[in-house]
Amino acid sequence: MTPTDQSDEQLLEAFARGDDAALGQLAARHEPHLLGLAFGLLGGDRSLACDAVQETWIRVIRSAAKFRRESAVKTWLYRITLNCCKDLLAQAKRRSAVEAKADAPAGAARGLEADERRCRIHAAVQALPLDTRAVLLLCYQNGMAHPAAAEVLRIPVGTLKSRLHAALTELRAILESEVRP
Amino acid sequence: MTEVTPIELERELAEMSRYPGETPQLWRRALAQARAASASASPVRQWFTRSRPWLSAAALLIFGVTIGILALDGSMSRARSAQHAMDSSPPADAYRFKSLTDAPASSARTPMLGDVPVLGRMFDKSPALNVDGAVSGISAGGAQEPAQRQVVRKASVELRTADVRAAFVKTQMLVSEVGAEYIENSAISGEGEQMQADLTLRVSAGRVSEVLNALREIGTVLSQQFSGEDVTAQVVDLEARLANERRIEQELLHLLETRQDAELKDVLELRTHIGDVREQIERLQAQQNHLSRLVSLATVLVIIRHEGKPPEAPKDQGLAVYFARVMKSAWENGITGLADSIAWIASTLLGGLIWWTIAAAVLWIAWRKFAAIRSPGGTRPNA
Repeated sequence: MTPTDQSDEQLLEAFARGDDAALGQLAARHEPHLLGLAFGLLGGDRSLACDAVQETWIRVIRSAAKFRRESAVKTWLYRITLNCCKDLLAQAKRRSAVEAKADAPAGAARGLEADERRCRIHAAVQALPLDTRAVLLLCYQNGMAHPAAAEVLRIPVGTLKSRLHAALTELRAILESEVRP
Repeated sequence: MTEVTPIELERELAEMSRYPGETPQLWRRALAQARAASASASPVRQWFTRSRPWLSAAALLIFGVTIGILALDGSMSRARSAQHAMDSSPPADAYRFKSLTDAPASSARTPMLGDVPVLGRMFDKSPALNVDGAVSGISAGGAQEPAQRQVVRKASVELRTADVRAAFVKTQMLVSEVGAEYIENSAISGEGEQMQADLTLRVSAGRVSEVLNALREIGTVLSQQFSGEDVTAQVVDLEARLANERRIEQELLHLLETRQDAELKDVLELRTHIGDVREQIERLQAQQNHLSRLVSLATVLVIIRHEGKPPEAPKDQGLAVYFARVMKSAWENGITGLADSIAWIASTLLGGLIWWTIAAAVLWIAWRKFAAIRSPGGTRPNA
């Protein structure tokens, strides 16, 4: 069996037995998505996102042997990333307002209409509470189905859907308020 | 400004969740960091990490043992308090005589009260002070024999009799007016089965055994106590001070006789001095006489109670009655134990509320830390 044929659980077990390459394989599968989630949650701050994901891997390395298979490895990784992002945000808020320091979306200064819309959406999403932001980003991320997102957030699927609806409504309200001041 | 369509919104949200640029292989950095941290961890910390379950178990064990010891100590203290209350419940008399076994070393060799011949010999040998204050039985050189000690003796007897009033009268008649004995105090109170008589007799020290024997014939002896206080040192001290004052008096008198030609003022002053010395002599003699009376007359406290109905002997009522009695006793003991336990728990919880709060906070923080280490992905609720 080649490493690419192995499941996440098998890769984690292999890493726990001492196979570092298995962790690399696991990271190759999930690190881009984890980085994307952290990037979105942390207001587009790359360095903070990298810190969050690196901390995620550190926790995974420490706890690989103790993984109890109560959830899928993917869900576990997303949950750790979410917690790391919350920790980093809390730390950053204590130091200064990280939201204010967030990198502006690429192209925001160009004045193009598409970039302007993107900039507005980014600003509106960042204005949402972190938990609401997490619902939106998890649900619209590639490959993350509603049940998986609900498991990451530890809420029922129905609750997730209602929160998603509420989040979208709130987001649209923010955007419309900007259109009609 | 144009309106954002739902499709654009979804596309932008998906775009927001995409990390721009190359994936920086953060897992390699994390792996290196974790390995470095593991290698740099001190042996003590490594040992602590490995032994954490055992240390936790040991801490819990110590905590439990401490609580157990505290609980045991509390119950033993209650038992001691109850025993002390029983021991210290005073008799009806106002005197607090020491028991013979608790007597000081000077009187530790004093024979038991019931040992009448020995007691008689002891009192026969007890010396008495002469009128002039000399202590009989004490040699001039100050060497004292054990039998020459001056001891103030006290005895207490509690009697039970069917006729308290008759016993009261008979006890009064035990005092011999000839031997300077007297009744210091006598009282009778209550009626019927509650009747009680209290007498304080001052009898000659040599006649104590005789009086006690007579008291035993009056009623049933419930208890008897005896104590002695050694006052030899006080007697010797009084004698020395008295001799000194007398010597001063003689010197002053001699001075007064030899200086007949002295001025009136000096003569009057000398007389005043003589008066002061004589007053001091009188005072010391009074103290000596008082001690002499205390030594020569022993104090006997007699308490006479009514002989109530004797407790009925338990009848043999069969196994069922025995079982019922045992069950009743077990039920009462259980209820008492339950009440004690509830009271102890309440007092422990309320008394140590601050410490319990601190301990709970520490345990809660430790649990949070432990849970965070054990399951990094599930440390907090997500919504």
